[in-house]
Amino acid sequence: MSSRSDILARLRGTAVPAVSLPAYPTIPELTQEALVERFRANASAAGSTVISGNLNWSEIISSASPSAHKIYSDGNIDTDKSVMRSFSLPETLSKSHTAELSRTRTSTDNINQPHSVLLDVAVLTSHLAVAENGSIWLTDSVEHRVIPFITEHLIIRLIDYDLVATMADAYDRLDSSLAFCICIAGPSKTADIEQSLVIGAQAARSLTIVLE
Amino acid sequence: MKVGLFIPCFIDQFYPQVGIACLELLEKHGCTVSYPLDQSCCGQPLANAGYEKKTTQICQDYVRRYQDVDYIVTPSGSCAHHVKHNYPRLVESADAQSAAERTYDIIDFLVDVLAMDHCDTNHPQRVGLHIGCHSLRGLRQAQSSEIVGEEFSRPRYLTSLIPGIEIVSLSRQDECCGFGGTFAVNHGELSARMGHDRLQDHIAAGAEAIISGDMSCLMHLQGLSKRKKIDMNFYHIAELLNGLPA
Amino acid sequence: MSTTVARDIEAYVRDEKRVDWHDESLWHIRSKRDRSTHGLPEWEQLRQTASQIKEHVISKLPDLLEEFERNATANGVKVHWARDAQEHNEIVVQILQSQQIDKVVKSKSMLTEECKLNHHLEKHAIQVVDTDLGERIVQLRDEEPSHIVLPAIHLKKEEIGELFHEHLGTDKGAADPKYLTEAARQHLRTKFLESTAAITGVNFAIAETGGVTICTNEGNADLGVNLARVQIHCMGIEKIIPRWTDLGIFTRLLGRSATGQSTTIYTSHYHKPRPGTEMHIILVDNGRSEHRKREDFRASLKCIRCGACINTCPVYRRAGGHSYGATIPGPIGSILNPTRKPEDHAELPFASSLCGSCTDVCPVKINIHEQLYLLRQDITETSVVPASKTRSFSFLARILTRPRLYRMAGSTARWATRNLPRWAIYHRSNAWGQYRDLPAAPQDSFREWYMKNRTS
Repeated sequence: MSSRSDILARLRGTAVPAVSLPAYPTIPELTQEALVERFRANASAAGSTVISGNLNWSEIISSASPSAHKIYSDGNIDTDKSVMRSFSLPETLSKSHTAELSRTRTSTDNINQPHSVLLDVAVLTSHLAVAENGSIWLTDSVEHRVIPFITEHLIIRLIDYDLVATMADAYDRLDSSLAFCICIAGPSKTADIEQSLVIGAQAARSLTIVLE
Repeated sequence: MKVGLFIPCFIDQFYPQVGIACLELLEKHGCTVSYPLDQSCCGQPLANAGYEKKTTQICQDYVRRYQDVDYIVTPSGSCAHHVKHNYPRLVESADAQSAAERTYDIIDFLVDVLAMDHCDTNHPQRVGLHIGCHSLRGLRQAQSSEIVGEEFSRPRYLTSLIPGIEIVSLSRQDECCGFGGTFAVNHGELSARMGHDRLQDHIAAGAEAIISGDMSCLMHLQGLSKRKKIDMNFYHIAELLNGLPA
Repeated sequence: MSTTVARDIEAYVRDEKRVDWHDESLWHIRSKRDRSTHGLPEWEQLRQTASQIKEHVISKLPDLLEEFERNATANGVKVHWARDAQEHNEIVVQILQSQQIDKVVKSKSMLTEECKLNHHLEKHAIQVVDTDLGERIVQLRDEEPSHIVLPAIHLKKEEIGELFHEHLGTDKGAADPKYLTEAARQHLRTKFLESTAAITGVNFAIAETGGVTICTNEGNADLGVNLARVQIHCMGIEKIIPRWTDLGIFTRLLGRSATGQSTTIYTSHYHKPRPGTEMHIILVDNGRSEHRKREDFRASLKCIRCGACINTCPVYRRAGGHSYGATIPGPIGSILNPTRKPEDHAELPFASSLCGSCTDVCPVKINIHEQLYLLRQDITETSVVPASKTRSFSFLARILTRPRLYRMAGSTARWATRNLPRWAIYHRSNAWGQYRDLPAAPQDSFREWYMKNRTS
């Protein structure tokens, strides 16, 4: 018997009383104003920077990363910096890249990022944000799935977006047939060393959210 | 109303004053109290050690002993919880179900059945309130700190009726004291450590006495503080409600 | 029944300073959990809903697994089934070897810990690097995680500094968490870039869509998966949830319960592989279908591995995770391990004061402490318990069912406490008295008082 049929047979061999699926709890609705306020507060609490109003992209990028020179954007932004609109990821990442990276010093104040596939800043577009945790959603439309993680600093533009109260509302709106989607609720973080919170664990060191 | 008193083994042997306080309190509230003389223990020490099957006789005796009373009241939340929670499963009978339903810890009985709302004694002391885990999460005498919802606390309500008393705030409101029945013996070092942490929280909060509806937790904490020569008083809430002997 | 656990706990507790520190670290997380849940009026409703969804899953598990497989396959995912740890490990090796892959990164997965996958991969000359910072730390130390969410919670920063100095070349004596985390970031980035395969655990697998959801704070799972040409997701069969929208319940519970965060930083949903790459999902039984047969303990299959019961447990906080001698420590581990392997873990259900904090904190409402109580009954009935233990409890039962015998024993004990010298009472066989004084024994028991004062 295959493992598959063996496991299924074992499971079917045990009668477990049926339990029906419950209805979801209903949650009181919030005004748009309250949602925005919550979103801003929760995003800041998670270590994100939220920006709105008159946008100066050169400044936004500089404040995320003063020395940024490898910048990727999935849309048009008006800046004096040179921005890539497409980003090529090598089929297999070569050994030399790795060697180069491993030569970088492990110091917090002097981090050198010579790697050609490593981005300094990525600017990506999102259309969905969640107030209860200050998160934003990215979907399939990201050119390479690795971009939001491999970039040193991540900037998310919220354009024509829905701001919903809870994760439950977000899942309601999302298309469940997406090949890939991700909810990001702040910069990468860890507290694995003595519960000390460190921002910038492995993925993006900072998250800037731009409300447009 | 007819009340049968159940005085658990360790209270019978070591804390008779707690049994006396309960008896007198119930009588003051107009209950007709009987005390069956052939009682011993609820069986929990065995059951918690994994030998509940050896306690069927104990359960049956309990059920039979209290057949003629309206309520069975005991000054031990832990024992009350064991009877209410486990007896109907151990002895599958309508009588056992009925005995379980009629069994009350004295704290619940004073609040829910006798609706106690005043207290004539006084106790001008700063006290720390320890709610035993079985009273808290088993009998739901109070809202546990984990649950999100309206706060309530029967032991706190009763304590607040006592003129002159002040309840201190603990840094960990409902941390376990580490008694846990046979756990106290099988994991003595750990149990003692848990108890010392609990004691320390009360001391740091400025408590002059620790009070509880669970005498077994207090027996453990008292034993630890005596060993370390810590000056602390321990009372069952019923003792204070009834008034300490002069 | 061995007494290894009791011995290990005792040894850990003796280091008072470390216990202070360990207990405070975990209580801090429990406090954060309280702050984030108490701000959510619907919390108890969410728990109830999640619990019922999971009960539904357990009842319909075979159907849901088939639905999941069908949908995942249609998405271009290869689904594998493994009866046990061995078969799971072989499948992983076979996938990697068929692609000539000898370097793999792995994000946190308690399942692969349970299956001892790393050891198996190393035996087949495949380098595996754990990429969660805490996991990497314990991997470099060649030990097991001491916590399911915080693998290195047992270690002090100085110990980690020493470890990183030895393995990653950080400055000697450096113990600043920020500096050490940065060093790990640089070290792990080289591993991400040189690995062509990535293994992850699974937080939720959605039957309706055939996709998997993975939650991390570091982003390490996604870095691994999205740089690799082969992604492998390993999951226990109980990780299934029926509907996509059920994630709206579970993601609200998971982060808050685990660390007090309103959500994990990254919640990723993988339905299809990237063009030109492979995506595999391995469904692992390894004792779960047997566990599911046991009515009293079935509900522990609802566990979503948030670790809240571990953080709140007054025993775990003072005993340390390694004292449990099991992959999953703490209250839930004290059910999962002995339920599946009673011969190795019979002691665990007894290492609890049954305070019930675990049950109240559990986001899927598993009656953890009640199961521990029932498991104790089960173990004394079915496992080998020392005859001396059974004899002494039979003796106790005999005393308690004979009121006259009970009274005699009681008054003798009280007499002894009053009259014997301390050395005769506090001797080695008095386990109570090793740490505590006995109560002052009164002349009269309550019954004796009652006889004198209330009977005529």
